[in-house]
Amino acid sequence: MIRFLIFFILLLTLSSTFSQEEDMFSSLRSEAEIDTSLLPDRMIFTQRLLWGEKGLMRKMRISTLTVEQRESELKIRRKMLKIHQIIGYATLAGMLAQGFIGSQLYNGNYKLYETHKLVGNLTSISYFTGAGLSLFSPPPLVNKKTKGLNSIKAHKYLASIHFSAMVTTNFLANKNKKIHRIAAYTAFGSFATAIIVFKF
Amino acid sequence: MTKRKPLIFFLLLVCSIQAQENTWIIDTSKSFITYSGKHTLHEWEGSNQKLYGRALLNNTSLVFNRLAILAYVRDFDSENSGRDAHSLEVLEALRFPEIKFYSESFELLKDSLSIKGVFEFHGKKLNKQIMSSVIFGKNEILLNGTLNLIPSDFGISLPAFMLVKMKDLLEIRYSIFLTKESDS
Repeated sequence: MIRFLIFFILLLTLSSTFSQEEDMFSSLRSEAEIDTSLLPDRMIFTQRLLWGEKGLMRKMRISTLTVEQRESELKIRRKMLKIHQIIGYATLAGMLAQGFIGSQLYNGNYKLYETHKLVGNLTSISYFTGAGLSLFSPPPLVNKKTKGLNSIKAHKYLASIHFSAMVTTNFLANKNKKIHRIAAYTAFGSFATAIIVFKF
Repeated sequence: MTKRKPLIFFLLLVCSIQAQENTWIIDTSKSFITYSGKHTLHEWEGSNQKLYGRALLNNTSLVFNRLAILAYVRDFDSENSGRDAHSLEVLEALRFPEIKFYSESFELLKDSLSIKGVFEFHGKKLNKQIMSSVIFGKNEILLNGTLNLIPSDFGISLPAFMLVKMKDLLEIRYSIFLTKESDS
């Protein structure tokens, strides 16, 4: 009987400790304001088009809006943004090379014309692939509105400048050399700054 | 009847111990927890001002019996939406939304409180000892202190920037303001 009683007391103490802990956390959870939203209030239009509540991915049932699916989407997002980062460095290297080759061309060294064209095409492919990875990645879990300028805001503002500049550079490649050159330098300057200011 | 006496005595003892406890609640408007992280290129800080918690104290001697603190990963704000979003991905916030601390072991030293408890973060539990400064007021208690957490101990894979991972250390600073729950 005494053994049974000791065992019973031990069991009661253990279960009471565990249940008291759980009771405390349960009551805390009931008081808490818990945000359980799966999508952020704000997202880029390209992301909304694909991944929004009524986006193509949802309509075509490729990715339904569930917790499990959002977990996988966030993993995909992380991978896409990692590749976006690496491609960004490669693009910057391409732009630097173009700057050198381009200045040689303007100085009359036309032997480098084909190289300029090739490096230009490769840099453009790399640039627009990187941009696509960012624009079409699944949206983050939250996208808070913050006051003032910070690294991510600067990165986004600069992105709109270098994106327009890259489109102009490509569009005017064989039409207006002067503006092509200005646009290329603008693209390079804003792109390099966007990389420098960005912090994870 | 004699065989039941010890059991009745034990149950009465448990009830009387519980009756001597007072509940203290974290004042969310005055409490906060901050973390700071480091990378070769920069440092940053984030804070959470939505802490939820309860402490059970002996009502005669103001001895801590239990402390439970709950915070949500989503409530941390570093004033950089990109960084916060990235943190939630790294911390798998949908799967592990909570950060919890629970303790039943306290030792009041000269002007500090040694708290031994279990820290639950990223779904992993680790025993942790915290030294906290403590100030007792009439109907309020203030706990202040710092502690270090190693993210990899909790199975968190460290984020990288420019292919360099962040330092495997989070410096935590907290200020917890407890107020006595009214009897009514």
